[in-house]
Amino acid sequence: VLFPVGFMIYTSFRDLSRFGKDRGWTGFDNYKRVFGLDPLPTVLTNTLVWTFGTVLATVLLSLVLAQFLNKKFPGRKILRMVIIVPWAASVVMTSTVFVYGLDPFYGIINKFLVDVGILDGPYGFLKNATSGFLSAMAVAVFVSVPFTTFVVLAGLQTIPHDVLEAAQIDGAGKAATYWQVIFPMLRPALAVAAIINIINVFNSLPILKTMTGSIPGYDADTTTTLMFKLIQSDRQIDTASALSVVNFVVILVVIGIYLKVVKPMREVNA
Amino acid sequence: MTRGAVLDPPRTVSTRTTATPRKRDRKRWGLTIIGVVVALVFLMPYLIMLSGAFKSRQEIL
Repeated sequence: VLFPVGFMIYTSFRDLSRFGKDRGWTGFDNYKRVFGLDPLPTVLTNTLVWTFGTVLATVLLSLVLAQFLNKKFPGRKILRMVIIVPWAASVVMTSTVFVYGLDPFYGIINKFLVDVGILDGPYGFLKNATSGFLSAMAVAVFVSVPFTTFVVLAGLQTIPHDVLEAAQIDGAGKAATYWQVIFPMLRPALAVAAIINIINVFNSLPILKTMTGSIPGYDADTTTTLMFKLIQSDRQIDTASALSVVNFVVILVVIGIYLKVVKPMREVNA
Repeated sequence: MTRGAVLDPPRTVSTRTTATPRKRDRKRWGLTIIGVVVALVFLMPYLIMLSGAFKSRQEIL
């Protein structure tokens, strides 16, 4: 576990040629180049929007869906299995279906939106940075919801029935029972779901690569896709290594702030 | 034995009426219909993909 991290940090202080030849120690030059990159402010803003927007939407949708899947109704088992599909399927495959679906000339999603009157005419969702980025976020939510839903559902199932019964006897309505009994008891499950989601979404490459990879410039890039472009297009292996270290530190700080501010593992007072 | 009577909640606490079995059944099937819609939303991209897998290139283009 430590070797790749250690090697990444080591590489970030080396001067590497376009072909990977080690030309020796270079100090903080790679880091200076990273912080001097012109698109860095845009990319950092995109990364924040991408991570928090996707995780927030995912958690909110998952809370609703998990509550629904916790109810008893015919076909519940089948629905639970069906919901796993987007999580189990290849992310590249799912993104590719959306790429074709959103195509302005022959995309089925575009045609549907025009037919129901939401759009006046076909729209090139993936042709400009903003709509492409938002579409990619929607797909990220779509593939993240199943896992988060199952974590929340597992949390819901650990809530003892007698606690809910006691709330009902005390005269608590459905909303009060949810916000004052169920939700506080879901905190540990939500913490796990949120942290895993933050890490996954922050480091996610395939969705953005598939959906917005063809958009020129850096307006639809996150730090992860920028890192990929530095290696793939510009062959700046050393700068990409420094950016990887920065990325790693940023995710640690974000999770640290989340744990400090939200205190998700705090004991629930009965 | 008065133990049961002591544990029973007072009738005045909850004003909620219990649903009749038929009403409850109707509600459950209502949830199933919502479930079918949710399932279709989650399966849509893969159903589109599957339908395309059985078409020839000429049919798609």
